[in-house]
Amino acid sequence: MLPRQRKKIVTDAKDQVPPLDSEALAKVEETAKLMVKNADNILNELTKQAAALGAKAETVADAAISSFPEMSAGIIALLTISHAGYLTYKAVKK
Amino acid sequence: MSGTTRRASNSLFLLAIVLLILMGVLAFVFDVKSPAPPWWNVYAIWIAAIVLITAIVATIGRMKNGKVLGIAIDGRHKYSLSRLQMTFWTILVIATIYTFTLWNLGFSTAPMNFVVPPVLWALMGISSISLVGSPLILNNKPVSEVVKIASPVHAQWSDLIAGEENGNRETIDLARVQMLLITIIVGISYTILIAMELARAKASAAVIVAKLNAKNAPAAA
Repeated sequence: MLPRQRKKIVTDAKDQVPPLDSEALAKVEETAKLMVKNADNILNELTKQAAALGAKAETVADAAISSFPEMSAGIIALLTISHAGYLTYKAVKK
Repeated sequence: MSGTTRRASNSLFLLAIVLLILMGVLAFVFDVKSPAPPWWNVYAIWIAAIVLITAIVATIGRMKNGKVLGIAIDGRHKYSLSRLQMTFWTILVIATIYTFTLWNLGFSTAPMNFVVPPVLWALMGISSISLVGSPLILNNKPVSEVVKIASPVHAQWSDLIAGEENGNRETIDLARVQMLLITIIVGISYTILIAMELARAKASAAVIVAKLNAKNAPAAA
């Protein structure tokens, strides 16, 4: 059996990255700076929105109605006595 | 009851139900996110709910007994104090529940999550006891003793305070007068308490709108 031949890796000329000139480097640098600046702006805007949303949720909850008004138990006692009197009088033969 | 009147009552009944549903739709449209027109506020919702539910109750009474308050006429064709009382509390409480729910749609993730205090349950319970107990007592009396009118059309307001037996039909029943007065006073007082709660909610909503406007103003500028 013949020994297996190693495949030789050949780098074509077209795969090679040409060296960047100073003008291209400046452009890359400028684009990167712009991206960082935009990311900062987006982050700031998101933070503001989240804070506003939190504040709104906090105050909006105050306007919701959470309960029927309370009434004194004494009033209920008064009503109970009144109803009891009404029914008792009704039951008595006139 | 003539055919025309019956048709008018049926139409009013259906119209009131449709308007109640429409109110629910409006509540979805006019929440805090899309500022509502000035006429859409919690009082408008409450009053409209009371009027529409009252209209439904009135048309039911008119269709059955030929009177707007026919729902309060009992089997003896007389106005019943306990029925009138139960009708009043039912309209007030149901209209208020509907108002609270529609209002909370814009301010809460659980619009029906409000507390009904035990005192209100007790109040409704007492009214129910009278509603059930009253005919039970009268049914145990000889038929000849109890006043009965020939037709519900002849029911009169004075039925609410007059005696219910042939022996006292011409006299004023003091126990009934007392219960009527207490119900009117407690009913009005509780209605005012509900109105105060609505005022608090309306004021809080105004503060929210003002805060939101103040926050949006610099951004717009």
